[in-house]
This record gives sequence, structure tokens and C-alpha cells, in this order.
Amino acid sequence: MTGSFRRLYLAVLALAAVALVTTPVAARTLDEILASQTLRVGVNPTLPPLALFDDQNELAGFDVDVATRIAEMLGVELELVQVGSPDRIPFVASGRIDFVMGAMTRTSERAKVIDFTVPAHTEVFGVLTTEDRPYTDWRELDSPEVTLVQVRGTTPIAFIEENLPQAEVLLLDNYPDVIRALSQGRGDAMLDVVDFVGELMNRYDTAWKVVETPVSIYYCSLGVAKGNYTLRDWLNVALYDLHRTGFIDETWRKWFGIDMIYPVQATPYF
Amino acid sequence: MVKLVLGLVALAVSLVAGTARIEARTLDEILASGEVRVGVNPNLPPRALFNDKNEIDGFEPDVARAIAEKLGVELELIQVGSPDRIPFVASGRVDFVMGAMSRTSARALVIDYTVPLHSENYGIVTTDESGIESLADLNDPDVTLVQVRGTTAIPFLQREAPEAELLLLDNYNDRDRALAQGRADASFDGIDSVSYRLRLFPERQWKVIPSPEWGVTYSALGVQKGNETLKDWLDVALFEIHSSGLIEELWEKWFLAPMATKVPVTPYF
Repeated sequence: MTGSFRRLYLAVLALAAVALVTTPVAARTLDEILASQTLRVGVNPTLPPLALFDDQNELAGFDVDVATRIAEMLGVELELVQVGSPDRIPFVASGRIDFVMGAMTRTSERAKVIDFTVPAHTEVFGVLTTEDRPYTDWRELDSPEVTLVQVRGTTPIAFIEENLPQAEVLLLDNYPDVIRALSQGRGDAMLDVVDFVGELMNRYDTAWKVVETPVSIYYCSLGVAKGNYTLRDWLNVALYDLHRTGFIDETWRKWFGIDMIYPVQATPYF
Repeated sequence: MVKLVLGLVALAVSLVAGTARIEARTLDEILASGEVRVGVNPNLPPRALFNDKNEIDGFEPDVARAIAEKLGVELELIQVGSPDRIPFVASGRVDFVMGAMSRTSARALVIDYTVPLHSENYGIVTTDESGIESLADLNDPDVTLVQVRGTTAIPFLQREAPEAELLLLDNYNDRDRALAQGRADASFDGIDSVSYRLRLFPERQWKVIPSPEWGVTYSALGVQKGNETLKDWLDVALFEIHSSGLIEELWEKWFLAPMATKVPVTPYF
């Protein structure tokens, strides 16, 4: 390549990169989705039961049921696209999917690159214990009398080391083992996202209790490309209907085995 | 008068928009520039003020700092006044403006608003010995009310408390001093800054009685009309700093009392 040609080539590349980064023109408007007759939704099957592969090796789960219902409301076909945690935001920002699901907590950090609908569901990062324990606030667990049972290698462990340094910690390999240990009284409590262990809790007669004051409540929304207001505004109306009719709560119970721990508190005033 | 001012503002905005075409900066442009420009009005202490080092400080600068930190950019505070604050944001010279920006339909013709930052409250400021407990107690010939000339509460008081004596003064410093010296029994006005103002007179047992029946208004951040990328991001950031308790903490730090009406924050937006 000659010097000047290479410069031109690099300039074109740079221009293309700028175009890709700054103008995600590929995002499809509501009208374009309707005209195409297909809605493309990103779901993450590493987060069961939000999404998972079922016995027929097909995508299923809470997010899949919600996406299916939304496609029906639009009157278009649903195309599910498998996304992972690192690529799901690039997928929606570049318009390869129309919106993304998968516990997308609305944070100011993520809101720099994508836009969010109203919340679809919550997740409670809090304390699971049993009725015979007196705790009402997660901070009460900072005591050498308390044994927390946790899954090895998960993020709550760093949080415990920092905020509950006095507590004893029993580390086990997976969630079924942790829930069994708690039901057998081999520990006092687990600090984690409680919604995801509902199915496991139901395996035991234990009188479970979710401590009143959680560490955090995460509000999870659908993520759309930045500036895709025609789609976002329609999705907000659709989600309100799904909340109002009880579809979200029902679908949550179907997949999580328990009621959503903290209500979304949908309001018509949005 | 309000109509005239708004007319002038609209004119200024259309002139600026029509001739200078200064577009507001999008969220991406602010992030890329490494700096967010925020307008605050230091004539409204303790919302914003000049501190001992002659730097702009106060509740709003603290909130602006928290927002800049979330953006990951530097903060440039720009001094604005009541008449020019809307032209400043409408012309894109500041990215957003603060300063008791009550969300009204008249202002919303020229700028856009985020979700609320704080409430604005009216009420009675009096002392323990006055015996005044409610708005009804003001309607008494033995009660002298001190008010600032030209403010919106005066016609309301003439209607609701016609029996009371009215003492009209030129500004809030004079109003505060008249109350402290016992030249009046009470004043009915905005109460948000009153604990901060009356800290200068600790010898009196001050009593503040909120009157929500007057109507509580909500102040938001003002962005240029149509600057959706910035507004949507600010809404998410404001939800975070409301939920974490930071807004209430900064309010009490500067206003020396809790916010009289909590902002009804909801995750559903």
C-alpha cells in the first residue's frame, strides 16, 4: 500500500469506527420491527430460570415467556438470540437485537451506553434465614455467633469480608448444598440474591424467612439501544399491561417457585 | 409580569436557537469532553453560595459533584442568576441548570426537566411563645405578619388572614431580623431555607409549621429542550442518589433540617 493510499484507508476505517461507536443507526424503530414481522430479543441462558435450555434443548424461562408475550402483543414472530454477560450490551447497542433481557439492573453506569424501559422485575440481594432466627436487618449478621453459608467463588463473599467481617463463613460448592445446609441448621443465614433459590427452598418443609431489610433491591428493565424511543415507549406501555394483568407475577411464580420477593410497584403514572 | 418574563425568555431562546444554533451537548459529547457544565445560582443560599474561600458551594454544588462523579468527568460550576438561568441552558452554555427549578408547564415550553430533585415547601415561621399552631391562628388582629414586599404569599394572606396586621419589608434579611426582634409574630413564606437563615438568631426558640395545603412543588434539573440522552441518564442517576439516601443527607447538611416533604421516589419511570 502506498503511503497516501494507506492514509486514506486508515481515515475510512477511523470514520467507520466513529460511525459505529457514536451512531448505533442499526437499532430498529418500532415501525421497522412491525414491518419486518420479527422481534429479536437477547436472553442469557447462563442465568436460570430467567433463561435456560430445556429438555428439548430449546430456550425457555421467565425472560423467554415475557419475550414471547411481548412478540404476541406486537403481532410479530419472536427470534430469541443467545447473549452472554460480556456481549449483551454491545449486541443491543449495535442493533443486532431489538432489546436485551437477563437481570439488566438499571444503573447510571449502563445508562451511559443503552436506554432502559420501566422495571420488568426486581431482585433482592438480601438475607435468607429461618423463622427461628431473630434477624430483621442484614447488619445484625456481623457477629462471631453467626454462621453464613455461601457458595464458593460468588460475589457476596467479598461483600461479607468487607461489611460483615465478624461473621463465620461456611463455604459450599453450589446452591443446592447451601439450601440443604440451612434447612438442616448447619448455618444461620445466606447472603445472596434470594429470588434465585426459591425452587430449592421449596424442596424442604423449613419455615424460611427473608430478612426485612435487604442490602439492595435491584430493578431490572429491558435494555434498548440508546435513543430508540419509539421502541422503549411502546415497551413501557406493554410492560405496564403485563404488570397490571398479573402476567409478570404469575410467570415469576411459574419459574422461580415463589412470589417475587419485592414488588415492582408498577404505577400508571409514567 | 410572569407572562412578560416568559415571553422575553421565549424570545431570547428563539433568537439564540434561530441565529446561534448552539446545540445542547448530548450525553456522549459530555462524556467525550471529560467535563460537565452545571449552572447554579449562588444568590439562593444554602442551595448555592460563596463559601469562606470565595468558592461556589452548597447543596446543589454537592449534588452536582455526585453527578459528575457518576459520569466520571470533571465538574465546571457556572454562576447563573434567576433571569438568565433558562437562557443559559436553552442556549447550551450549561448542560443542566439547578436552583429551585420548579417544574411548571410554562417553563416546560422552553426547557425539559428531569425527575424531581427536591420539594419546595411553604409554611409559617414563628416562635414558641407566639402560640401560633396553624394557618387559622394567623387570622387574628393581635397577630402581626412580616412579609417581603412583592412575594406571592401576600395576596394569599390578604384572603386567608384578613384580620392580621401586615408588616411589609424589602428583603429576607430584614424579615428575619424583624422576627428575631419581636417586631412581628410570624411570617408565611417558603420554609426550606429558614433553619439555615435563622441560625443567626439562636437566642429565639424558632418554630416552623409546614402548610402543605398551600401546595408543595417539586424542583428538578433543567436540560435543553430535546436533550433526551442527557435527561434519561440524569433520571437514572437521580434515582440512585435518592435511593442511597445521599440527597437527604446533603439536604440536612446544608438546610440544617430534614426536607419538609419527601420526594415520592419510585423505581417505575
